[in-house]
Amino acid sequence: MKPTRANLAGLALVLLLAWLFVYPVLIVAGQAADRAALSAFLHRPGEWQALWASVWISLASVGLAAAIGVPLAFLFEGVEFPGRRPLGALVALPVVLPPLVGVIAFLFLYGESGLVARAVQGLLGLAHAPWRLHGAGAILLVHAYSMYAYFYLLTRAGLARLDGSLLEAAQALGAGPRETFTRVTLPLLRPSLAGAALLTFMTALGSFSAPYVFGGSFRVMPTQIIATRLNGDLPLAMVETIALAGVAIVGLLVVGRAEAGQQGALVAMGKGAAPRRRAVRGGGARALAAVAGWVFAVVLLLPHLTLVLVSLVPYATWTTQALPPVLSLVNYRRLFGEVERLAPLVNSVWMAAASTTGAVLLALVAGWLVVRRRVVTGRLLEGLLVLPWALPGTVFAIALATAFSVSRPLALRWVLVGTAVILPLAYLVRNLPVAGRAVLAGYRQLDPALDEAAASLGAGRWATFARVTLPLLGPALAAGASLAFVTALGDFVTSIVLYTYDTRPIAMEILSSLRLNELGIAAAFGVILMAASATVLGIAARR
Amino acid sequence: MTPYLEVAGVTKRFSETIAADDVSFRLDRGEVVALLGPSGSGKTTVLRLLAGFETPDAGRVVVGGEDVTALPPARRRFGMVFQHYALFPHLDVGENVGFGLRGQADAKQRVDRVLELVDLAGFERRRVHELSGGQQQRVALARALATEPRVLLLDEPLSNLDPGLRERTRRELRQLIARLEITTIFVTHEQEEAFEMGRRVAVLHRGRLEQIGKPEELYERPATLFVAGFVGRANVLRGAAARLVGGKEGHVAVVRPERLRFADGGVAGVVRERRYIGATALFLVESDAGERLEVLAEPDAADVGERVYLEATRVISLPEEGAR
Repeated sequence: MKPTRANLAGLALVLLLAWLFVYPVLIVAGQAADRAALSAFLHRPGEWQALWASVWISLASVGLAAAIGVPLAFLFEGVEFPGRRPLGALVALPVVLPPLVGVIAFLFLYGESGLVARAVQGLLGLAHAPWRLHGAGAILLVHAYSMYAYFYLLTRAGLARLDGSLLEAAQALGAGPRETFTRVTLPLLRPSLAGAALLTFMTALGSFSAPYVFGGSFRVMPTQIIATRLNGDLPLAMVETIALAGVAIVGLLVVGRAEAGQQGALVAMGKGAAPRRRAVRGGGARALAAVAGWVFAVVLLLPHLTLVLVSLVPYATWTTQALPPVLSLVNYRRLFGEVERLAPLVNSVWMAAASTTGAVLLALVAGWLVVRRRVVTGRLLEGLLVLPWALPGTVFAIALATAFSVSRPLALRWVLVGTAVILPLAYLVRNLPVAGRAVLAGYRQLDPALDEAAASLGAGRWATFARVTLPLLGPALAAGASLAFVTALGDFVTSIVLYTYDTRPIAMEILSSLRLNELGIAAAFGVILMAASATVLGIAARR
Repeated sequence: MTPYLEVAGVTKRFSETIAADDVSFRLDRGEVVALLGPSGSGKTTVLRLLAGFETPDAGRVVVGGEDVTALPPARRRFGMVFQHYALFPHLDVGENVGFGLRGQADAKQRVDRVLELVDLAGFERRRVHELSGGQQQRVALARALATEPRVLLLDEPLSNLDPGLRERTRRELRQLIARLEITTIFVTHEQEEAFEMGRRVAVLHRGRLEQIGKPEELYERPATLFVAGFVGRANVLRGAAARLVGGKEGHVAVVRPERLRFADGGVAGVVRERRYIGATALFLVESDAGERLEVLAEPDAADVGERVYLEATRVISLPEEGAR
């Protein structure tokens, strides 16, 4: 390695990132190597059940999400009907919506005292709620309902990229519509579908909100870890954490392989016109497509609409009626008027802003070192940037909580747990992949000749960065940063492990509002997060 | 003799624009016709109407006595080579070429045969993105030929090749088509290509078929002012200058540069530029009335700045554009 300044900077950045999240995970692994804890893990049936539950729930989530997302993508990408564009954007909302918001929206709609249960109860004149929303079924329902968005978005993108002349070529060679679909469209979509499967699997594996709220005695690994930790069995919690990380990595390798296989070949060919969207002829078919699109969209967005409705219900005014009798903005007034209520909002905003800024700055430095200076540690840096994505949030939370709860400066460990630093730090780590991907992809698209042109026109390094690089990276950066911001704003999985009363974020306040039966306040917080998510979606769509 | 392929009154509108306006022409079996026109002239639309990717608003397409106007592309048995080849990236060369032969017992032999035809024997297992542009073009051609189509449609098949390669590929393509005696329609925006490839050339302009005929006919006897200007270089003279070179009264006079010569009388002007080509030179003459005329002559026929007179050895008289 040549000891240039760039290479030294690259090395320093590798060490910093490794210290931030590789080192803590290694500490957890070290503490998991505990004979008693390992034996307990191996011999308690509950542990294996939770691990198995995590795996099968994740696999089933992939299947269900595909069953919703893929047809939806074909409908919105393939057929022209009134309202296609706005609805098509709206049904992608779950992809940026914090999971906890989706969960409470579900609770308010399909829960035992939700709108649908009340309607059924009233209709049939039942004394009790007709069902309870809990267990594996409830978790799967929520997963399918929110994670279809990965399949939807990636399939749509794949279809949009599909070279229309390939489909025409198949037809010219005698293939009918069905044959064209199975022999051309589907094989070409394979990378998109594999990518969506991977995303869904990893998200479902790390999913915490749905199992936490609906799981009850049905445990998946993330909720099992939190429960074990709450019981004070720290070594066992460490073993569980490592087990979860192991499953995540195996999943990544297995599903990731299918994704990587063909990508290169398909991108290389991408020429020619996109397939033209069929404006469905004939009033009947056209109306059918429109109805299908609207029904799909309304059903998928109903929980979110319910959230808005519940946020307008003042405390204790909605008892047994099918629909709330009183609607007002009092919850929002309380939320912004009472210092105690406002604090979580303020906390979440500043912590999300700080962590996003940090993640973007780190990503910018890394992008510059990797793409422009081609430092020796480039590949390592890139790997480190996306690594946090491969590990469930619970794993990080436990790792950070373990590593930074003791003061051993010689081992580079300080007490950060309980301070205002730890949560922004955790958010930053979780946001690195989003920011890193956006910046690296943006940097790669920039022609290095632009830098040289700026230099030849007399611009120095900083002037070039400010006047050429940054404006060109702008859109990618804005999309990545805003996604990171919203993720941090609604974070639940790491917050529940690391928060303190003074730094309690929105998600924790939603949870305690639910416990106090302050449904309106919980929903109002949810609506704020939802509005932020919709804004992010708008920013991303404008690109 | 009845024509093999007949296009009769085909019209296609896209929201506001008319992409094909009452286009009619006929091809004999084994004939090669080039569709020539500037971009946006509707030539690709006509090709897509023939292939069945678009359905005409009016008119019909008949092949070998069968009306295929309403037939989907998959059942027309027209072979098509796309501008960007449209090779299936998830299949190798052999699978691409054999795509249309699924379920046929002799598929393997036919793939081998057409690959040999395009000089790509032994390429079956190659991935298409590993091939050069010229090889991809030949795979696309082989794939279209493998199904033994009734008509071969080529959509600017040479436009993505380097100039040197283009000329060679053009020659090979022409010889192959001639050998197979396959009825072919070849779309291009380059006159030279159209002249070399097509026994006849059809000139399209704004969706209308302006003229169809042998290259010599288009050049020597253009039917419209557009064809005169689009096919070859042309000096367009109006009014007094048109009368001076011997044009018909009230018509526009079109004179090819090689049909103007320096003389003792005629249109008076000054040589402004001289572009040396080799055996000849192109002189740019500005007439006293302000017209700019191109003259092809011996390199030493005149000097820049010299006062000259021009006379025409052959004049094409055409009605004013839009007067039809």
